[in-house]
Amino acid sequence: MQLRKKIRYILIPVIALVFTMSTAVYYNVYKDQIIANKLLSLDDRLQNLKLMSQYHLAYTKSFIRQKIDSKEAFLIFDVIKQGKEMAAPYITQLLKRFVDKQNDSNNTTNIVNDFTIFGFDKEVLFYVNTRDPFAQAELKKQTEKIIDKAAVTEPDSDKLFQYYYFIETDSEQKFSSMNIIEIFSPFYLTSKPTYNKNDELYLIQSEINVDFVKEEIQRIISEHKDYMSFTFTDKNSVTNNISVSGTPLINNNNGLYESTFETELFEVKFILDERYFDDILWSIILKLSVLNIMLIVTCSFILLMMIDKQIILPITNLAKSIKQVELSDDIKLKPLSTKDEVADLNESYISFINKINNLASNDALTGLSNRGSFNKKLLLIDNRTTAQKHYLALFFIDLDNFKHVNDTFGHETGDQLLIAFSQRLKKTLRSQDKFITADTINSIARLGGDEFVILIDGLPTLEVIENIAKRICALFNNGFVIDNNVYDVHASIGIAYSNDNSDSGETLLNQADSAMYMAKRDGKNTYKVFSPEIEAEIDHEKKIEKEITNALAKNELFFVFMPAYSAANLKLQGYELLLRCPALSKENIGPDIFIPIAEKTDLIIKIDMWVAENALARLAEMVLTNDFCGFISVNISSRSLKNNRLYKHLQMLINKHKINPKQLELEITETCLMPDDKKAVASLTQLKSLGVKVTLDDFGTGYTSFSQLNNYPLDTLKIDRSFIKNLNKTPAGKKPTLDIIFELAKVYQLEVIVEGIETQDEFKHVRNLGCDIVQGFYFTQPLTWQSVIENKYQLEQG
Amino acid sequence: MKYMLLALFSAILVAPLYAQEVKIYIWDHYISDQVVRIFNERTGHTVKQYLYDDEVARDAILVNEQAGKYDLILVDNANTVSYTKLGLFAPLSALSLKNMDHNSKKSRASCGGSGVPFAKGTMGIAYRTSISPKKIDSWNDLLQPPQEHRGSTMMLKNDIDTVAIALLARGLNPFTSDKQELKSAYSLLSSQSQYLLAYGHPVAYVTEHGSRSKLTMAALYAGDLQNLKDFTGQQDWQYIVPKEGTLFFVDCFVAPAGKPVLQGTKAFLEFINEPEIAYMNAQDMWFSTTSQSALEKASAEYKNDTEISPDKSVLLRSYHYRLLSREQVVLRNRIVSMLSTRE
Repeated sequence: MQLRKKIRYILIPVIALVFTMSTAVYYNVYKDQIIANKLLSLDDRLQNLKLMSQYHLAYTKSFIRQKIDSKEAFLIFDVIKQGKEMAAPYITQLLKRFVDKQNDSNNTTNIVNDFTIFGFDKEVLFYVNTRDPFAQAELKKQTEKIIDKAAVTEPDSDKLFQYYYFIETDSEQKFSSMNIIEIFSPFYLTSKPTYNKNDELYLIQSEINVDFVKEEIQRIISEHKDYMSFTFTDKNSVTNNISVSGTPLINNNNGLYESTFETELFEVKFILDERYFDDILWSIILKLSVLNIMLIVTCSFILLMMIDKQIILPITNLAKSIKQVELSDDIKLKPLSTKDEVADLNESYISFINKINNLASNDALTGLSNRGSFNKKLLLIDNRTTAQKHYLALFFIDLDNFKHVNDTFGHETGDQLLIAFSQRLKKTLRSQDKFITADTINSIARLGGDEFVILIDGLPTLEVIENIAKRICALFNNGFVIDNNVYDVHASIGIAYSNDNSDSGETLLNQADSAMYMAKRDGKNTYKVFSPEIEAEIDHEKKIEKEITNALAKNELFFVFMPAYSAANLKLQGYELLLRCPALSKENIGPDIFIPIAEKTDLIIKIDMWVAENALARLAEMVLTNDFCGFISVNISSRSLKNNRLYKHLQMLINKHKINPKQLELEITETCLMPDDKKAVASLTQLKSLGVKVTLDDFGTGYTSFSQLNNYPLDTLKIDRSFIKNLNKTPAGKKPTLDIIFELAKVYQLEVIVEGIETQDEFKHVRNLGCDIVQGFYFTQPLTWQSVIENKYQLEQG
Repeated sequence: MKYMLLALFSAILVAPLYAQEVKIYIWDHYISDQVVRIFNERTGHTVKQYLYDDEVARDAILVNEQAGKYDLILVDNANTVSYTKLGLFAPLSALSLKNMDHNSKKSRASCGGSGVPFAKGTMGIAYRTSISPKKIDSWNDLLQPPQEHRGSTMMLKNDIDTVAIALLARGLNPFTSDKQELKSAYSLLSSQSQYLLAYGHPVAYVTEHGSRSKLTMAALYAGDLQNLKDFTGQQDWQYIVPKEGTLFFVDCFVAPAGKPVLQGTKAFLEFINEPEIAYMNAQDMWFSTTSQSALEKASAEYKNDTEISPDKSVLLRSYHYRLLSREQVVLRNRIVSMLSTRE
């Protein structure tokens, strides 16, 4: 699932939940308050209605009194009193007090609807209708009753009140009008509360304008449409005092709220159905829901947009960049300028990629480039098109004797040595030559094991190239020192170069390799620059390898047999089997040349196997044919000592040919044995366990000291022929080296063979020494198999 | 010094023994300053004018017995007769003014025994000719103003005249007692109120508002047109007597009852009725004089002016003021009192 979708699935439900819960809590908290507020506001209006009614009544009374007390009214009563004709101006001037709109008290609403002054003889003395100029005065029933009552009762029986109030209802018993009657006399103050019937009295009948009450009631009812109603009850009474009372809205537990508005004349009851609030609350719920949804949508949109912009977009951009990087080698991730986790991720990714790149292209141990990376560099050389004025040099370095360090001191030390060498190599290259810069070094690589290569471009002269090689060799002067420990390790350096762009990278590498090989052969801690001579030498070796391979394939190899005699009586003791390759023999190339070449490759193993197999077959035949009871000796390469194939092979052959193993001597050259070579010792011990004899060949050419000889499971020491040749060079009076070696061999109770005897003097010297067995052309040339099997040289010579 | 003494002497010679101030309660712009100055120069008495701009206020003063504060009051002939009957005015005919006879017989009859004729005229419509292309020639144009005049029209508020305008517009007798006819007049007047700028006398309005006046049409008494032009600075005002006819009025000077008539008052009445003075004043104030002798001296321009002398055919359809019964006066008063622009 996409990150964007995931966030949406997580965020939107959470926002929706939070907002919905908040809305629900808000609704619950405010629900009761809404109802209470609504009731309070409604109650206020009903209370206000009562107050307004009271105020209006008081104001009406004051309004009426003001009219009666006016000068205009006084003139009218004066005219009546004087019995004069009531002229129009008297009436119109008083009229203006009621209806003239230029009078402030009349300019808004009328206080009263009409106003009539009656005499107690029911005569209309003044009439005004504030709404209809054409209306006629009317003596209402209740008014007439009061006048009649005053007329019929006894004069002193009771007094008349200043005010009377009554209401009229229409045919449907609905409120129609509210009336006030005021009785007064021009002879008293109009504020007089009661009057005697025999006072000169007038009566005012006035319909009070209560439109605002009716309208307000209608407004309240219509605002609570369908849920509110009112009932009006006429008390059918006339009262001289009026007061307004009432009760607030109270829930009567039948689902109805009731409030009353009551006077002595009537009662109004308001009834509010509590379902009214359901509607209000529903509308609030609806509004809150809509608001809720809008908030959820808006909030989600904003949050998602911000998350998208701030988080997802950078991540997707990063992902896109990474994909591009994957697709193309040229594009690299760039660090982000922001300081957030995405930037961290970017950084981590960059460093991760760098690490992977390093791992892929660098050697884990030394940090130098690895073979793969170096090969890429080599390919780049192939792609160079323009001719170069300067040199491109490839150094192939092989550490001599490194294996020995590994075997002797352990791999940890070996690794340390490789690391130290790598560091010193880099330092040497970079710090000491003005011609070498970071740009010119194309690569310093470890190809594996103890092999290193350096590829440097832009070197001006061959001399500079050789100086570099010398400096590298100098690192090993007096051994390689790490932490005060000296290791006997050296460098063999092969150099190949090009300044004409004609050679491919691979060619250069091969050339350097060849040159290195030559350097190694020439001696330790030296370098060789590849040359045509080296090339020729290599070709020559290749040719030899080829001939041997052919010979092996065609089974053309053969032995010649060098007889070995007892020095004491010159009796034949056995033969040393010497290998011959017919094609090479024609060119006078013997095993002394082709065996070392074969030793460079696995060819030598095959040769060893061939030698073992054929030698034992010959021995078996010799025993069978000639009752041969001497020994044969064969040369074994050092390579075969490194695995136990030879051992198994010999074991098999001995069993196969039912040979007495004591008749077999295995010769190994001294140079094969490195000092303290435990593996070689083990290998020799194993071979010796077959019952065969082991001879150390060419003794004296290597570095084996006599003390070490004791460590090897040797039977025989074969002194190198060079010591025979040097016999006549020994100064008079000095003991020849041959003699010393012989004496020491004897100390170690080894049988001694001396080979290469060519003269009688040499033989005499050896015989006088007490040497056991001798070989050499002085006695005979090597024999063919034919000669041996025919037993022609069963020596009986003197 | 000699001249100063001479001046002082002549001043004493000219001045009466008791120089008096004549207090006159009158419409604004009815007596010319020149006339007042000459009166003072000639008699030594001075004139102090107290101005009213509607009859309602004036009538309240008359009925409330505050009229005694004034020496002379100018009242229309209808009310002169009406209030005389109530005994509110002194019988000025008893003064035997020698210049009284210069007035036309008709005007003297209109003012009765307690009134001295001063001016007469018609009631018509004044309007600005530049406001609307509609020709204004009917009372209905005032009662249902053309669109351009709505909200800028004024209507007289006077018991008799206001109702009379509506009755004339309906082609009815302005002094009718028929209740249905009056109801129809009331409904016409009620519907007019929504189009009105105000009720009242237009001269009072322009006096107050001057060049900022919004007024474009009004019911007007002849003789007041010049005032509209002067106060507003608008020269496109025109006065017409509507084709349905009009009411003739005569304004009379009356003196409140129960108060001696001063020498100064009598002097003023004689002075104002001198034909030269009457014409001077009528010409200055541009109204129709009741003085027959003055008219004889008048210029052709004065005589032929439509405001001063309306078209004969219109005059045929017009009415003189008639005394109405108390009930009719009261009813008309009720009708007019109900009218309001509900500002």
